[in-house]
Amino acid sequence: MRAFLLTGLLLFSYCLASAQGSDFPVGARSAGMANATVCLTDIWAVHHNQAALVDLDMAGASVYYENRFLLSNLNLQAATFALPTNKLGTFGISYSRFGNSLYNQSRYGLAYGKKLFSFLSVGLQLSYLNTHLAEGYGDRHSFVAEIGLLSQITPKLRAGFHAYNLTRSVLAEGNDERIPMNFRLGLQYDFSKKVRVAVEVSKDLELDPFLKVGIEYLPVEKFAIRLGMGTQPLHVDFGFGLRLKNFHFDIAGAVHPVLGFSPKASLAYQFNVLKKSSKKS
Amino acid sequence: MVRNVNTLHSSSSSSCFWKACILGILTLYSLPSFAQNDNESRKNLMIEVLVETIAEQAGENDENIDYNTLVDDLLMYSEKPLNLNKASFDDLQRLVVLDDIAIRSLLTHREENGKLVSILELQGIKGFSIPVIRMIMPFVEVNEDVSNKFTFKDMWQGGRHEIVLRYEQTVEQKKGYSDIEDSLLAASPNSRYLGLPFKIFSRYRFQFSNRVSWGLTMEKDAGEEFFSGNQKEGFDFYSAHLFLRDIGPMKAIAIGDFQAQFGQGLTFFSGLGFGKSANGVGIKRNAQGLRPYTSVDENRFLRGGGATIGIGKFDVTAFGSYKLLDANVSASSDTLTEVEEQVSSVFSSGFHRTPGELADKDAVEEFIYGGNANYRNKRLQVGITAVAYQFSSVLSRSPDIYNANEFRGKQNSNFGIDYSYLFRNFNFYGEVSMSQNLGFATTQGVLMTLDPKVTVAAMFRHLEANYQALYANAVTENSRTNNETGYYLGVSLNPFKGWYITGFFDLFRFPWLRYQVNSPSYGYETIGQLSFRPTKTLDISFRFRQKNRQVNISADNSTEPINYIEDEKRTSYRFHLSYSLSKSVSLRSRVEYSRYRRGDNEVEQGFMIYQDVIFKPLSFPVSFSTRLAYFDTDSYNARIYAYENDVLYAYSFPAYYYRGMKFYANIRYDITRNLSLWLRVANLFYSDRATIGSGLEEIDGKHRTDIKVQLRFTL
Repeated sequence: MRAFLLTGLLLFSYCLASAQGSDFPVGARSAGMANATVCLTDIWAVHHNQAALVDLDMAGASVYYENRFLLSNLNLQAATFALPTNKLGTFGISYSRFGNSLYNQSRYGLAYGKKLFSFLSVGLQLSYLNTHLAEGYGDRHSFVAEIGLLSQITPKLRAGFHAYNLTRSVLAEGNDERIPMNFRLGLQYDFSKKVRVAVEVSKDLELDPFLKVGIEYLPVEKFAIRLGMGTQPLHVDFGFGLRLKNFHFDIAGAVHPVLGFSPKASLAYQFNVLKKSSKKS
Repeated sequence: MVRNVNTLHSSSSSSCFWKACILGILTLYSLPSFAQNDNESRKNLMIEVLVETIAEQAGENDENIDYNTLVDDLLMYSEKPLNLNKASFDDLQRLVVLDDIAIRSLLTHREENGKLVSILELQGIKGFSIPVIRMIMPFVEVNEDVSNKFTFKDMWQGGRHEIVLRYEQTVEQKKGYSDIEDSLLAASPNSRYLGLPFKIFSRYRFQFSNRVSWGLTMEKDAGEEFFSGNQKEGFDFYSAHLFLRDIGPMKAIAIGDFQAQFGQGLTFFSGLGFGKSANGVGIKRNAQGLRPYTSVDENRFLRGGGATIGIGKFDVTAFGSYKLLDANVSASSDTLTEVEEQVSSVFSSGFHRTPGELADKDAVEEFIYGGNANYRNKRLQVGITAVAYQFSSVLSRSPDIYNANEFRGKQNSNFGIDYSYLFRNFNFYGEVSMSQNLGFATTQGVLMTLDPKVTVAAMFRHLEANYQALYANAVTENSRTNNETGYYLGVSLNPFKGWYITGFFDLFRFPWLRYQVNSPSYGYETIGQLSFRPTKTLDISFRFRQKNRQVNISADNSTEPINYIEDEKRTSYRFHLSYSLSKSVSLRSRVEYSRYRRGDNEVEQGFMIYQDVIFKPLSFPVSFSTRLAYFDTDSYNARIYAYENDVLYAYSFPAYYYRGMKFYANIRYDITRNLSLWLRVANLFYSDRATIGSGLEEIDGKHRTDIKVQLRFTL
């Protein structure tokens, strides 16, 4: 069960899809569920909610690729690594890059999650963000901090919270151009080992709040079907996942009524380095 | 008795005998009259929910829809319940609330384990959750007798004659009936109605279970003449039908007025069908082939004959229809006569009250013929439908860019293939259709029962702008079946006992222009409903609904040279509470808040609150339901719809707007076992204006009182 939760270890959890970038959601498993994944434990939690890392059983690494609206200039690539330990919580490293040679944003992050009580975990990530503008405009360097909380209300129900850019870091002094700040609050309910439903509300400080709903269904243990929808931008998502031995392969697609289709894929590998004492919580 | 449904667990079929014994003993302890009353109120509730469901989508554009076609089968089953031991796949589909997977599990259970002994056995069958069983209980029974013999003697003895007479009138005088000087009337003859202000509906019907049905319906709307003037024959609308089912190899024979429905509605589907609703997952159409027609919609039906023959796993249907349509006929400058269809939605009014309306009556001949071949086995159903239409005059709308793709001509045809495939807990279905001009349309969907507590429906549809199907009626946002690409996702969840979360999200795009939309546009619709039903006496629900479409900016506000499009967003929040105080009295309350916003204009808000009292005593022949509603909306745009109880076979789904109050009382008196009388009095009061309605329907005053009296005699 836990191992299953590790599907799609993706560290690239850009924060919510914000208009200005640096906060793109990553992970094809998450993408299939409309990124309503603030409560989901898998390698992508390094991005979505570091507090959810605490339930990871095995170390893992993964990569992600997204081609937004089938435009090569809007590429998103990401890679992740997570290492759970027995008593010291879980550590993670993340890398992501969005854009082309003329404009791109790269992010390198260090994440950490720890269980405080049996029902509450906390996590945080510190990232270095490099925004590069070509043709002599140069680079901008910024630091971003994020924090997340996860609470296991009942064995089947979880609630999560995540805030990106706590320190309200600034991208450029000039126009008070800040890196997007947003909050996410979500619920996840596991109806059974086969069905999981997640709901999430996101609010970027400058934008309207929006709602995401995602469903994951496993007709058999090694195959998953995912569906989701989100309100802003309006889109419908679907995705599939396959688990072969220690590899997890996920693909997803998002459809926007005007901008079109975005394909996404990720590949993850779990290392058989288990936590020595697995204390169930 | 229903409580036992929760506590009894079904075990393996070998203990059937003991189960039956226990059930038999327990049944003795339930009060027969309470069970009957319970069934009666549950039947009414289910019919109300179904009508409200479709009315919210369809009725918002037309208050005159007759929902009888939809609930006809359920009303019939409530009088003569469907025997679950004898029911075929088609019979079970007519119960509306069962999905294909559940129907297939029941039929498989019957094959493997023999006949059912009691209704409670349904608990053990996949797809029959407690809520579903409760919903179908008023309409089904479990009976040992499974003979399918049909004799005329059975028919005369087991059948039921029914005569219904209904008189309706608005007490206050509408402008269309007021006095006018003869000279003024001669100058504009359409400024007054020709007939008297009452409406009469009368119907005779004979029904023998669902196998034999015949009847005659006669109706006259308010304002139409009656046995005088232009209506010398009496009523404005006559309809007769004869319908037989399962007579030898003939699965259905229809003579007179009937309906025909196939596939998912892209090719040919006459009559009403369910679609997007708060239920979330009821979007697969279950077409029923030929059906009897007993409604008073004066245009959307077929008149002629049809038959379905069953040969093994195949059903072959052929039908033909010839009738006259109301249309505005104008002569053109060349030799062809051009016809402009009346600008109306799919269900046109059927009003013939003024000389203008009468001149358009029966102006065009419509001739339709077609057929369907359908194959069904345990997993797969495949159908092929082909239909052709012919008109006596050329149908042609005044040319405009937005309707460049609409049908023009005297002759058209459609061809389609539909399928439904059951794979484990998935039901894949779809249809692909073409019209004569090679326009194309398709819908593909899947219903998935992921868990006993989780059902998900997903559907994709793509209808090209030039797809032309005059009798299509599919699950689409557009009321015309063309020019749409849509993605639908619906869920129905039961996370904890008594808690239900249902709803859907639909994303659609219109690739071509539309009426008052000068460019391709897109939008979405979503409903989310949270309900709490801990017992059968309490039902609390909260619903959120939002719909966003795009329309041209309003010409008055704009100084722009080109009318670009802006968002038109409608949101509503509803809280609803139903509670049974005792076996005879129940209460219903609702609070609803709506918001309407067009572009950057100011938000228009609306608010409505109502309280209903429903009194259905067990052994007293009088029952009633009454409502008091207060509403206050900024404008007609922020209107709020609410279903109202009405007399049997009539349906009310009005919009409440402006500021005022509505009261109604609906009383039923069962004089004898065979004779019932209904009286309904409704009063609408506006506090912020001095007239009600507009045009010829205008009333000078702040009140409008509508009265209905209905008599029903059964044999």
